Amino acid sequence: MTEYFIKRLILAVPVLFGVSVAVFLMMHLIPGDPALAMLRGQPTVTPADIDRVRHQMGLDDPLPIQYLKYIGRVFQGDFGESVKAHRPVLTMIQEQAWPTIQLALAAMVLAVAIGVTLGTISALRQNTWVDTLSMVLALFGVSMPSFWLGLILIYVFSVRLEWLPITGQGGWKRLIMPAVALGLDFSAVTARLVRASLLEVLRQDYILAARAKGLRGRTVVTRHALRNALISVVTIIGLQFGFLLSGAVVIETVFARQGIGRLAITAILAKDFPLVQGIVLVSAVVYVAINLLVDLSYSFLDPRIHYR
Amino acid sequence: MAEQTRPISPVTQGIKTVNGNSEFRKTARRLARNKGALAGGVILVLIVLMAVFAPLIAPEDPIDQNYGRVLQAPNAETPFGTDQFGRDILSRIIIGSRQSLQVAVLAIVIASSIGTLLGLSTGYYGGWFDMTVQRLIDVQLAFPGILFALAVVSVLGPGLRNAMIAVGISLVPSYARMVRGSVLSARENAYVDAARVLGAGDARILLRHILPNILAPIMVLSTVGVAWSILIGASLSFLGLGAQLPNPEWGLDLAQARDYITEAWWMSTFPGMAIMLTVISVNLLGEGLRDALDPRLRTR
Repeated sequence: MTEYFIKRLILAVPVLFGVSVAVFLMMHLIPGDPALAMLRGQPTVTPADIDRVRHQMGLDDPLPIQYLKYIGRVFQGDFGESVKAHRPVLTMIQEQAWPTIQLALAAMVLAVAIGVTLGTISALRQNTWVDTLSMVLALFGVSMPSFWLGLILIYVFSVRLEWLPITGQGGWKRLIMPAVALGLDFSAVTARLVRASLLEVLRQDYILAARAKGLRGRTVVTRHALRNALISVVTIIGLQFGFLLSGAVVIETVFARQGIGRLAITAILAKDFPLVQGIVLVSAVVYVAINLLVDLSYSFLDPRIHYR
Repeated sequence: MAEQTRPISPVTQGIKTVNGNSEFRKTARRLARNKGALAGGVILVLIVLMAVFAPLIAPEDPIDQNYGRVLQAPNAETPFGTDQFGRDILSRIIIGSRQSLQVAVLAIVIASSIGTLLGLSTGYYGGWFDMTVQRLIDVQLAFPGILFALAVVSVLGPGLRNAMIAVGISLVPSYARMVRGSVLSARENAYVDAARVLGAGDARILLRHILPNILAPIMVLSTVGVAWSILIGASLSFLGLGAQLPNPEWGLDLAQARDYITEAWWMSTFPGMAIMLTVISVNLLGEGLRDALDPRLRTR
């Protein structure tokens, strides 16, 4: 197990190296002079301004030197300074990280709860109207744009019913609608996956044995079938959490919530490349780490899996 | 009753023909029996026709402003209502379908061509080239969801063309990995050895023998890819990074609708329904195609 963990960690290193190179090269793939691109929008831009930004960004040095300096600074926690806000990028990311994580976690909890419930009912009532309705709802779930659902929720629950506040953050009430809008897609995917997995598990011999022993239907499902069917759900949680984090970009804009997503959009529109680079790098590293943890959790969930 | 079969040479063995019925016809028949796929296909064809003939169908110019009928609810004159500039929303939806579908189609063309090329070459040749490409794909896949598309747009700048490129590049890994997997199994077939023995070069083997036999999974992936591209393209436009004002585009129109959610529910309803209907039809068609092409469902 430890050997597998170390092997996976070592395999993650070239991926992280590649991510750091890709993020570093973002600045240099910008058409034209990146320093000029960052200063666009200012009322006057002088050659001295361009030189200042070039020097500030370290664009004077050869490319490999720039990369080494960049990665050296990153390891020391220095992700550069926002060209627009003139504040450390890492500080700005840290300030906005928690609202996004909060939203993603809430969305995931809701999505898993709804998805598992819907998928289980659908599997136990296979080929009935309940099953059909569940799968139709799941189809709508994966097809509906999250930002449109957000607008619908705002109109129904804030404007018409006045049950929930429209925008902003603070308190659980302001988290419900954004979490539902963000998590709907994942809940639909989960429902379909649970249904397929549970149907597969219910055909296994040990389920037949459990029923033959005289166990109640509910016990067979919850203690034997569902536990094994949910392994496949856990395998996608890691992937989906990354998608939820990135999907928060849109939802934070809809609901005017603070968060990394909204910070990223503001940075992109303002051509604040150091901030964009920092956000992209942190997000990618977090995603790789989450997938590594999920990968390692398999053997805890399914004792049949032995790592070599 | 003896089957009547044409003599099959090893070179053409990849495309089986029995009783004059091709696999293509069998697949088409299975697809036609799937009601969901049929419904999805019909709706999609109607939407595509709407996009193609949009300038002829749209009742008004979608950019024409008319301050005499600002934020008007759906009525006989404007069935989908008007927006904050008095523009007809129905016309914007019809003309906007061109932009929305354009992003999806061109993104798939970019992704499928680059991805298939990469998958064919890495799956066939293997070696250090394969290893290098797989590591690069791992790096790209480290950027989840919309994040990679955002990174590309941040480099290239906002705009419809850049959104297409961003979405297209985001999908390349899916095609490359899937095609590579298919090629790895296809290259072990006898018809590939026979073609080689008969003097066919690598390019001919890949394009004339292997590629036609792995088109099925590429088609299924393309339907999934179109659905995803429509959603991501609309998301980028919603965020102000895709299509730009005043051009009509479904995601962009939803972004404008946000500011008028309290007083004009129709501004967000119809563009959202257009996106959802298009994605549902593509998903239904894709699922039907997947079921029709599934070897486990084939009778012997």
